[in-house]
Amino acid sequence: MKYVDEYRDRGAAEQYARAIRDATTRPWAIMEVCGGQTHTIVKYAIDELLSDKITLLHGPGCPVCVTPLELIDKATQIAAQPNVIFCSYGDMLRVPGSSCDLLSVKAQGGDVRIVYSPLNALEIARANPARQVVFFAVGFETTAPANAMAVYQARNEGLKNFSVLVSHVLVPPAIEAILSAPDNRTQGFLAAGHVCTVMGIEEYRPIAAKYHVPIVVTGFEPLDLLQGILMCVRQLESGRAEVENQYVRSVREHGNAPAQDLMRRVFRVIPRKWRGVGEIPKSGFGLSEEFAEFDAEQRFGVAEYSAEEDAECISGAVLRGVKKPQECPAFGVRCAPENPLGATMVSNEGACAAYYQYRRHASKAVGS
Amino acid sequence: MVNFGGVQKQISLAFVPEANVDDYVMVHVGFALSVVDEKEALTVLDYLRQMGELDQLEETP
Repeated sequence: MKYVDEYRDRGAAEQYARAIRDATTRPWAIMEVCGGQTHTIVKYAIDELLSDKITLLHGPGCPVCVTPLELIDKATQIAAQPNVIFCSYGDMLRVPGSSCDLLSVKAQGGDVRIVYSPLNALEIARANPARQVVFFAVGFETTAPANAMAVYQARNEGLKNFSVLVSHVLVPPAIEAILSAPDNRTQGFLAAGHVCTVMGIEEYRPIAAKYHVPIVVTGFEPLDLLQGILMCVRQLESGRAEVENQYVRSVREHGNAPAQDLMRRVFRVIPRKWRGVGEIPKSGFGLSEEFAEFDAEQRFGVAEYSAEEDAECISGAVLRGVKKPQECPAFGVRCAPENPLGATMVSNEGACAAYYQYRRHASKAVGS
Repeated sequence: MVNFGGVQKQISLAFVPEANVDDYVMVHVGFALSVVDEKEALTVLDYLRQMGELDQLEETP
């Protein structure tokens, strides 16, 4: 496919890897924020192409991974109610809640359906006027415009049987939480190209300046990541801390204005709990007052529910880049994609799942 | 209608009013979020060469 294949060219990748090795004189720890980037890095072994001096830390940008336990529990509680059709992206179905996951609700007769887009959930609501249709609205800034549009259309059409269980999180507050933690190791960031396609790059400049950390907005193909790493290393080596844009083919300075306008109208910024990390102020979206009637938590009486997380799972430390997946004693033993302890082992974009898929036999041999 | 290397899907263009037929778009969960800038798309592939030239310029006395 055009604009995909050429970014996987092996010769160019090796040239980039050489340029990165030439540019690196000291050890640096760089975090890729997005789980999609983590997947590419591990799949194509980009970290192993690099100089030993560069450590890639895998960040919190996997929406499935950071959705807190209590929201999974709320989802299963709603999905188990009679007369509910619960719609979700597929990779949320196997995320473990306190007692069960959405897939087991489905196995016990709950009407849980996998959708590709929130618009599919809207279609299901139109086709089933006598039933309540709930969409699990998870994701970062990339998914928020689509979910906002679904709620906006539902109101315009007067759909009374549609609601959303919102679990929206934002990247910049998470980066700040990582940088201000006492055990932070991250010295430079590869920001998520698709999040910035929506939001633009301006909101990262105060963070780069305040923490003196380079932030390179980066795409998702192997050559994108290699170029992003090279740009980040050059900044680190020369003591610069700027926001640069590697993913210029999609990211504009101010992002996507129509998408931002609709998001601001449908959502409002609220504190959010991040799975394994805890509550971060102003780090997510809830529905705005204007659209509060579409809040599934209110409609199904689960707003006050809360839950504590499993103590053995280290996904919080993995999501903050403090630990690597194979440092967990449960990795590949008590925790695997078929029986995950934490969400980082479930999602395609989760660091633990990526290591399990591509590295579980190799990790000891290379001694990493 | 967007063609993904052979697979065709109905995609909302509500957020990219500037999109035209034959444009490449970046799509996420059923919505196009940007029109790919074809000129910029080539710069990643060109970056190293440009950098090489810059380094040579800097080395020239």
